[in-house]
Amino acid sequence: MDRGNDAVKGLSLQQIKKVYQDNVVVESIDLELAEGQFLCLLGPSGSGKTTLLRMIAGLVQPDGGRMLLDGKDIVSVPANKRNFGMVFQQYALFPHMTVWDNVAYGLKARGEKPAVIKEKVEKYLKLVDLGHLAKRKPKALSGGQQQRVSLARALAVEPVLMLFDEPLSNLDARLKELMLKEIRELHRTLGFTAVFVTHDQNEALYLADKIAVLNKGHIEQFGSPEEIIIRPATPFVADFFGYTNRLEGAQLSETGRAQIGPVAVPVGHVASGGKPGDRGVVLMRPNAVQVAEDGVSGDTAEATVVDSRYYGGVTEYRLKLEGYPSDDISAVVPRLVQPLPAEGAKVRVRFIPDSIAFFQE
Amino acid sequence: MRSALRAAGYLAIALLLLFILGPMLVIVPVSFGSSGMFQFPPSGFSLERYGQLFADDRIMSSIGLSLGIGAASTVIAVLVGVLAAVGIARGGIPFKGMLESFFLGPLIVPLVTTGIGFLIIFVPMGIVGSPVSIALAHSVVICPYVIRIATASLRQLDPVLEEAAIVHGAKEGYAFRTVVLPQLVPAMISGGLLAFLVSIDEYTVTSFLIQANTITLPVRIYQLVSLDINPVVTALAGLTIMLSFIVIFVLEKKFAIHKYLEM
Amino acid sequence: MPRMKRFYSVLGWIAIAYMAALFLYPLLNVLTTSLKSGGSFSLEQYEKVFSSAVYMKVLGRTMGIAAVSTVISLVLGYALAWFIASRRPSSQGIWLMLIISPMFMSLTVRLYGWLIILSNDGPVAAVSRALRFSQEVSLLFSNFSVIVGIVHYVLPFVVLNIYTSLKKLNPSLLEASMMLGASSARTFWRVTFPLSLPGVFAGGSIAFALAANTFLVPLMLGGPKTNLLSNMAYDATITIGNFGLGSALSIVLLAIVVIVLVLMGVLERRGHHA
Repeated sequence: MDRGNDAVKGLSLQQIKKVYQDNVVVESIDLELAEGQFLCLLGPSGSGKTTLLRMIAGLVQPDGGRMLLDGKDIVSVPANKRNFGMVFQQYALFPHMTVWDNVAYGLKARGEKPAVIKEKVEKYLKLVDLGHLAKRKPKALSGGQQQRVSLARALAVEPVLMLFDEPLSNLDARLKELMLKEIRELHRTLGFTAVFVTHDQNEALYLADKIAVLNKGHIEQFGSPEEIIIRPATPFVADFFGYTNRLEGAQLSETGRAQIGPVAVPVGHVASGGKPGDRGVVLMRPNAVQVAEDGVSGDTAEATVVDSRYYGGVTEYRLKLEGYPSDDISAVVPRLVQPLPAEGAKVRVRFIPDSIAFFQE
Repeated sequence: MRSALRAAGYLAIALLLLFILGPMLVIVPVSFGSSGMFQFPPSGFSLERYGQLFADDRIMSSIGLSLGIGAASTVIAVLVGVLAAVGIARGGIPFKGMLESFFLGPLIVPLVTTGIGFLIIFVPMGIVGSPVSIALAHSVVICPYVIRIATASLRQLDPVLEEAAIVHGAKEGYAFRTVVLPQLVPAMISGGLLAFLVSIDEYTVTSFLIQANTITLPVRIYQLVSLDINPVVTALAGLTIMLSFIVIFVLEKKFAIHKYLEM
Repeated sequence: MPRMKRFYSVLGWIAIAYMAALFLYPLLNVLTTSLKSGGSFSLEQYEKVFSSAVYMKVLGRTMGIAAVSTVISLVLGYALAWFIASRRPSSQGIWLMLIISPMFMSLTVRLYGWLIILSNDGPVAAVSRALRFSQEVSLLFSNFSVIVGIVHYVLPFVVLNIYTSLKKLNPSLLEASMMLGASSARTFWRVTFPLSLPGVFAGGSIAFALAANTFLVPLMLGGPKTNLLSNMAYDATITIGNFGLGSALSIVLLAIVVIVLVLMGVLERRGHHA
C-alpha cells in the first residue's frame, strides 16, 4: 500500500477565498482538519465563517484555492456528490414530510435499498431519542426535537464530514446545554469529522478539538480550546473570549509587568514575540480586577467607582483607574459586597495575572 | 351634521353594493319567471326555462366543450406557469424584470390583438375552429394568472430546504420534485382554479377562432342573449350565478381565499 | 447552489420557448401583417386608419370612454376600498369577497343582467317612468350603457388594488396625525391618500387597460354608434376579412394602451420625487 497517498486523511483548505462585489468575505484561508476531529469556526457575524462552511458544503463556489478531502481536490465536485451531512440553523426540515421521511431523505435520494433505509433510519432516530415520533410532521415538534431530527437526517447518510451552521442559536439556554451534551456524546460514539460554525465561545470551548477564530475573513488564531483561552494570540481573540477590559499605551517591563502610566499591571500571558520594552495594549478579564482588602500590598492601584451593582451572585463595578482617565474598566467580584460602594467612592484594586494578557504593537 | 354625513356615506355604499350585485340579483328571479327575458320584476313563477335548459343539446354541448377546453388549457397553463415561475424566481436567466413582464404580457396586450395573432398563425396550419387550437390559445391567455400566484409562492419559499436536499445527496431534479413541487401545490391549485375560471368565460380571443361546431359557452350565451333572444338563456345564466355564489361562498369559508387575491 | 440555478434556468427556458412560440410569434405576425400590402412592406393600413374620420372618431371614443370609466371606477373603488378597510378586521375578508365576487362570475352573464336592468322593461326604466322623466327610455346601446358596463367590469380590480395599499398603511401614522391636531379630512388628504397612491395608480392602470381593450362590453351593451377600437379590429378582420387592416387597428390599440400605462408609470414616479 502506497504510504504517500493516505498521508492526508481529512479536510485540507488551501488559500480558499471568496469575494462578493469588491468585498473580500473570506481571505485566503488555510486550514487542516484530521479525520475524526471536531473543528469549530468561531467568530462574530460578518467574519466569513458561514461563507466558509458553505464553500466546504459546496453550496458556494470559492473564488480561489483548493479544498482537499483525503488528498483529492473537491472544489469542482458538486454539493450533492460530496457525501456530507449538514445541520442548519433553522433546521430546514421538509415540512410536508414526516420525521421518518425527513431522516430517510438522503438515503432515498442516493437510491439505497428499502431494507437498508429502514435499518439506518431506525438506528439514527433511536440515537437522537425520537423513535416514538417517527410519524409526526415537523410542525408538531418542539424546536429542540426539530433540531434532533435535523441531526438524525445528516447522520443517517453516514457522511465523511458533518457540517453544522450555528444550529443552537435558536434554542433557549436549557435546550442549548442539552443539545451540546448530545452532540458531544454523538461525536464520541460515532467519531465523525465535523466543522461547526458558531458565534458563541462557550459552544466552541465545549465541543471542539480545534478552534479557528475568524475575524473579517481571516483566521486570527487556530488551536485547541486550552491554547486559545489561556494564550490568546491577538487582542481580537482575547476580547472575544472575555478579556473585555482594554488598556492602551502599555509598555512591557523587565519584571513581567505592563506599565500604563502610573499603574503597573502583572501580566500572565505575553503574546508570542513580545519582549521587555515593547509598547502595546493590555487586555484583561473583569475577574482579573479584584477589590483589595485593607492591608494588602503588591500589584494594586487606586480607583474611583463609577457604577456598581449586584448581578446574579456577584458584584459588578465600573471603575476609573487613577492615572488612566480615558476608559472605564469593569471588575467582577465573586461575592455580594456590602455595603454596595456608591458612585465616587475610592477603592483599592488588586490584579490577578492569570487573566491578563499583553499584546505588542 | 357628522351623523348626516355618515348616513349619506352608508347610503352611498349601499347603492354601490346594489350596483355591483344588481345584475346577478335580477337574473335569478327572471330565470324563475315566465315573463319577457328582459323584464324586471318578472311575473309568474315557472321552472319551464330550466327544463328547456337541460333538454337543449346545443347548450349542453357548449358546456361540455368549454369544460373540456378549460381543463386542457388549465393543465397546460399550470405546467408552463410553474416552469416560468421557477425560472423567474430561482433561475439565472438575465433581465429578470423584462422576463416577468414578458410572461405577464397576455394581460396587457389587447385580447383582440392576441386573437388576431392566433388566427393568423392557425389559418395556414388549418386548425382554426378545432378545440385544440382554442385550448392552446386559452393556455397562453390564462397562463399569467398561474405565473403570478406561483411566483409569489416561490418567493416565500426558503431556499434552505433545497440546500438541505442537495447537500444530502439529491440530484437537482429529485430535489425539485420532492421538496419544491409539493410546496407549490396550494399555488398550483388556486392558480389553476383561477385560470380555469378565466378559460371557461373567455370570449374575445375565442371569438376569432370558433367555427359553427365549436361554440363555447360564453359565445353561446352571447348568441342566445343578443342574437337569438332565446329565453332559455335566463335559466343558464341563473344556474351559473347560483353555482358561482355557492362555490365562492364555500371556498371562502373553507380556505379564506381572499388571501390569495394580492395583486 | 450553482447547478440548481442552472436547472431552474433550463426549466424557465422551456416556458420561454412555449410563450415565444404561442404569444410572441403570433404578436409579431400581427405586426408584420399590419405592415404589409400586397406582399411587401407598406404603411398603407396605418395610413387608412389615421386618415379615416370614422376610425379616428372611434379612437377618440375609445380613449374617452376608457378615461371616463377609469376616473369613475377610481372614485367609486376608493370609496368601497375605504369602506372595507374600515370594517372590523375579522369581517374585512367577507366584505372584500362580496364586493369583488362578480369578478369570478361569467362576464357574458353579468352583461345580460345589465341588459335587463337598463332595458325598457327593467327597473331603471320603471323608476324613470314613475318619476315621469320620460316614457321611452333608451339607456341601452349608448355610451352611457357601455360606461356602466365597463365600470362594473373593472371595479373589482380597482377595489382590490386600493384596498391592498390601504391595508399596508401603518395606523400609527394616522394616529400621529390626529395627535398632532389634524382633522379627519386633513389627515385623509395629507397622510392617507398620498400613501395609498401606489394602489390608486396600479388600479387606475389596470382599469384603463381593461377599459380600452374591452371587446365584450361594447358588443353586448353598445350599439353600432358605440363601437370601440377593439370591435372595429374584429369587424375588419372577421366581417370584412381584411387581416392587414384589422391587425393595424389592433396594433394601434396596443400602442395607445402601452403609452398610457408608461405615462402613468412616469407620473407615479414623479409623484414620488415631489
